[in-house]
Amino acid sequence: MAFPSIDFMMIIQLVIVLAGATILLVVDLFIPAGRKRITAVLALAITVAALVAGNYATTGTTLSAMIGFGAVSHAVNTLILAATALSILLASDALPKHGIERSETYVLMLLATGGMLLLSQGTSLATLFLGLELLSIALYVLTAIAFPDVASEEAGLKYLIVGSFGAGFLVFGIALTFGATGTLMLSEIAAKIPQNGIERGYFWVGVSMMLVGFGYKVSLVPFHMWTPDVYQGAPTPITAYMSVGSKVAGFIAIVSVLQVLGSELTTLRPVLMALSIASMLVGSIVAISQQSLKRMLAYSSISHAGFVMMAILNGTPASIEAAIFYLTAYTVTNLAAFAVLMVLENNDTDLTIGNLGGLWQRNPGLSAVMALALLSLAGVPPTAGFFAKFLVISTAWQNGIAWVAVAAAVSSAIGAFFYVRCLIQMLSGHSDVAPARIPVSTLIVVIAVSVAIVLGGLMPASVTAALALAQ
Amino acid sequence: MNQLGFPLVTLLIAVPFVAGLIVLLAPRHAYGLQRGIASIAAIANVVLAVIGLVSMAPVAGYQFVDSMAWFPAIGLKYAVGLDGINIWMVIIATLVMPLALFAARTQPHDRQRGFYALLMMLSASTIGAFVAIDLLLFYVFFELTLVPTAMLIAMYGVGERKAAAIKFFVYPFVGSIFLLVSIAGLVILTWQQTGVWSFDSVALAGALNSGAVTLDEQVTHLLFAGFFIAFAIKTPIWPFHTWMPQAQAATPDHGAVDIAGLLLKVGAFGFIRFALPFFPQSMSWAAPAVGILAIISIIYAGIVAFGQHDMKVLLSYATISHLGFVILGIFSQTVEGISGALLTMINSGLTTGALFVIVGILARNPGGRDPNSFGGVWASAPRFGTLALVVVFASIGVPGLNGFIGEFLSLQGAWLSPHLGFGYISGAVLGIVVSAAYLLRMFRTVFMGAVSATSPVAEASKSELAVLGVLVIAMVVIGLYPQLILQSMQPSITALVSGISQP
Repeated sequence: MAFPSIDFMMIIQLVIVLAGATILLVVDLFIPAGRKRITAVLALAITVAALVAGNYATTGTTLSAMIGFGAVSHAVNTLILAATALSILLASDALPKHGIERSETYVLMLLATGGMLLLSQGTSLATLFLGLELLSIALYVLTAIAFPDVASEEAGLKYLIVGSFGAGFLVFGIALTFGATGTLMLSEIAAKIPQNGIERGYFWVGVSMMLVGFGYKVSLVPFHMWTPDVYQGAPTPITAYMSVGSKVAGFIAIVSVLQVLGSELTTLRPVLMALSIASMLVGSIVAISQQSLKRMLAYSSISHAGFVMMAILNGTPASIEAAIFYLTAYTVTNLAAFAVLMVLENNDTDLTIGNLGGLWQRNPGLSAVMALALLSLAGVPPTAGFFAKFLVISTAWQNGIAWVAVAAAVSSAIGAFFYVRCLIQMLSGHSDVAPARIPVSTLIVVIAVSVAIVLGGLMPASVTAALALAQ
Repeated sequence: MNQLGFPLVTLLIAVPFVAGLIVLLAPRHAYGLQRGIASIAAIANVVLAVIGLVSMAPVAGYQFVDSMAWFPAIGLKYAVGLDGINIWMVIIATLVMPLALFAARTQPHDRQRGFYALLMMLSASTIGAFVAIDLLLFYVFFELTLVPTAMLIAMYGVGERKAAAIKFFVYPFVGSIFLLVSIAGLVILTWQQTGVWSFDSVALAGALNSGAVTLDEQVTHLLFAGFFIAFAIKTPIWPFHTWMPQAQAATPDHGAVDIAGLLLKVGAFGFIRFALPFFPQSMSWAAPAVGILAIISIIYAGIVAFGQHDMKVLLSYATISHLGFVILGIFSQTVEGISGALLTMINSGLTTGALFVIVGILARNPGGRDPNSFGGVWASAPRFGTLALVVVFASIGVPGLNGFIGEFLSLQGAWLSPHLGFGYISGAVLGIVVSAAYLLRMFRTVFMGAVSATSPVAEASKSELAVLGVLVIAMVVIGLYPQLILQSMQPSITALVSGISQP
């Protein structure tokens, strides 16, 4: 049986990450128990190597056209790997603080990253499924990694059950789509649709089920119920990693699937608009009642997912670029917010809004970062989040769905309330807690993301250039 | 580089911003240095603004434009400039800063560094909002004014400062988001019809009025609605005003934040600068209804001011009442009306600023901000009382002082306007009577009658009298010779009105 030819330079990032993860697992056996930071450093090195290697990757498709690489994949991979690197840095400080630094954590993070890269580069439904499963299973274990903490185990189990449920939808949808079109290759499906060479009924049910499966991953309403519980229960560095990575990868997979539909996308648009509006509104409204910061950020991420969907459902290249910009802004902002939470957590891993009180007097620098993150989440200029919101609202106008933009405005308005509530709580109030110490790796991350948030707002062209997005 | 050879307008924004940063980074205990930097920056800014005023040529259109590409892919530019409409707003914006710093001299030293830094940032963002030509740049500065003010209220305020700060930020922010949607819509629809990406307000207004871009009437009204909501909340017009009294009740007693906050009239300015050139038909269509809201603002705010036990809240309602005249003037879409509106905004800055200084001086005494706890201040502080009386008269609109001209021109504009008319004048005039009532009542309660035993007030210090004296002189000068201000505005306003008048 002939082995399909593989252009390794095209999948170089995947190879580095996955092979690196496997080798790291073995190397880690020889690292003594108290020196697990070395594993973190090695994992970071692997991620950076993959980031750099992306510049040398060739474009096209390989592995019987199941994996591809192009400008969009390059940009998204850069974002994913940057997010992973920052998460590893954050985890290397936060995990030892709570006594849960297990080397498997970094290996699992690399494996999850490999899954994300597969989702971004996949050109076949089989690859997309593989990527999703790799990502999900690694995340299930990572969520529960803080055992014997019951909250963490419970979150992990919830994620496993709901995630498997969602993956089941995805698999069934893929099966139906295969039945309708006779192929798993996205490009071939796209070619067959205009030619009427498919069973319409099965096809639409299949695509819808696939969207449900991916919807679970990116926490669109009504597939979002797992998000607050899992975000709250998981260890905070894992929450941070999950919230950014799985969204970016999940949405790019959705983009790949939607691009297959071509002009038939208009049939699905009302449904996608409904998903988007529901996510934006439910996320904002329910977040108001949350006292736990992690839950609040979980609901905020649900509402942000709605914004990204509003851009993606249009299907034009400009709207996909706007969505990627939004995901970038969202990534750096979320990492900033979670980084601050990680510094503030000592014994209590579930901080409430009250815990933020008087932060301005304790740690002015840290509260400045949190203020920047909150303002960026709310969409206040001149932050990256503002420009991102502006770009997605513009795409709504460009594609004639301005009323969805009005729903987005309403969601932002509601959102402003709970973000500003946290901001004001930070500025006023008193606290007797001693100023928190910021470890070095976290400091690096915090500075990097703060710069990114401000740059994204003042010089958005620099962000698009960094991602090498074609303008 | 513009005609002057140096980026005057950018400096107007940059000087307070950089000064704010320097103050923030100054050593914690270098109180004199912090105050010195802030004062120098404030005075330098006044000088720059005056240079701008005297160098301006009496023509319509932007001068001293600083322009730089920002995000070329969507036609976004950093473009700022001065013209007849915003030059006096900028002058007032810069003049208000030394006044605010003067009022803030009673701020406790150990809490003054952040306070001065935030005041400077507020100044920078308000001036930026006044001078922005690019729509999105205006939006950025418009939003940015909320952040330092909310921080000032939350960190340095009194009373219910947390709730006031949240409401202060969220309520106008909600309106602004709809402005963002409208801006995006306007730019995208223009791009779809002309193929040009541009956020330049002059270019967009030109395209809309010349017919290069034709929009469905419904769409125009909806876009206007976004602009209206944002500016109506920010101005504020009744019934969107509730954030303001609550916020002003929570600001520090000395009144520095309120004085600086007078510049948040960017809302009313936004109507003149953007809503009017872009959507004249929608504004005509909305004028009758908005006129009624303005009349209600004038009268209702006046009546509510009557019953206030907090002088600061009384003044905030007085501001709302004055802004009702501004709105009437703007929606009249006549040269007189718009001139009157701008003049009233300038006057409001002067007189209400002076009133806040007076309240700040009074609030240092045991009586605090409650007018009923004072009495006979005129007897114990004669010079202070006299100056206060003149300021009160100016605020009411007594002829010979500045308030009268502004209100008169606004009402004249409303009368001459084809969209408003005589009926609105009667409502507004009633409002003038009401404002006389509550202001004179406050004056009588505080300054006249028997000297209060619980809260005697000594004569104001020489510096306080000097500052009030300068303000009073300005009020008298403008009142007797308003042409001083009006002549620089005339060309731009005439061009604006003729550009939007229906054929």
